[in-house]
Amino acid sequence: MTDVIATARLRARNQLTLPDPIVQATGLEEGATFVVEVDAADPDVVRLRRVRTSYAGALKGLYEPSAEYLEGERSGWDRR
Amino acid sequence: MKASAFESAIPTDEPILLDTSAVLAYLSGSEVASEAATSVIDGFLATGRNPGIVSAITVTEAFVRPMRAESATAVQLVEDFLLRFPNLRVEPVTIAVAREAARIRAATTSPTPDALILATAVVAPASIVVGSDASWSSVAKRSGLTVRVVVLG
Repeated sequence: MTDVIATARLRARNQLTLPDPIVQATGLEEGATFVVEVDAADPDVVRLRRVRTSYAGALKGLYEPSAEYLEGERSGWDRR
Repeated sequence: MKASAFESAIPTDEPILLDTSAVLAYLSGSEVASEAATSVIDGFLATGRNPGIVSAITVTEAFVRPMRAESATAVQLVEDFLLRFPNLRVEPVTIAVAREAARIRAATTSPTPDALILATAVVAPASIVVGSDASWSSVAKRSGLTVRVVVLG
């Protein structure tokens, strides 16, 4: 389900202003960077994905204990 | 090494190569080395104090677990960090890197992935390698590298 919907119009020089409700709902601030994605098979859908300013702890619980995980990955070079 | 000690251990503007161990500690956020890794990555790289480099080997190592877990979100996060984080770039395993890794391995019997990552620092070049393996200082010394190894945690 989409919680916030707003309309934006592309202006000269490809400039797009994010609507206030979107900025407020997401807590975006000036200087935020985005990845802009479009699927050639569905060009009507353009996605903006925010690039975080920090990824510290972003994958908590995935690699731990990471030393053990990394040792496993590197020992794989020795296996036949 | 405490987080504050990195200020003096890593001079401003010196390129830093992050070993996979530093990247994983940073992304995990709850390990012994996580605070120190965050100090380096968020404190030095993100601010532009130092340029950062990771080996393509690190890209492989960081992606395996998220892909094995079939977590599209985790894959996306790893990709965004490795490819789009400010002042961080991925260095490929070129012929020059492979050759230098062979020289390191011949001199030290260091495991191939370790040698490839240290060789990446030589070729990039990066004067500082940040990771969790204390033995890398010895490997670097025995193979005649001028890179300095800074050990986290």
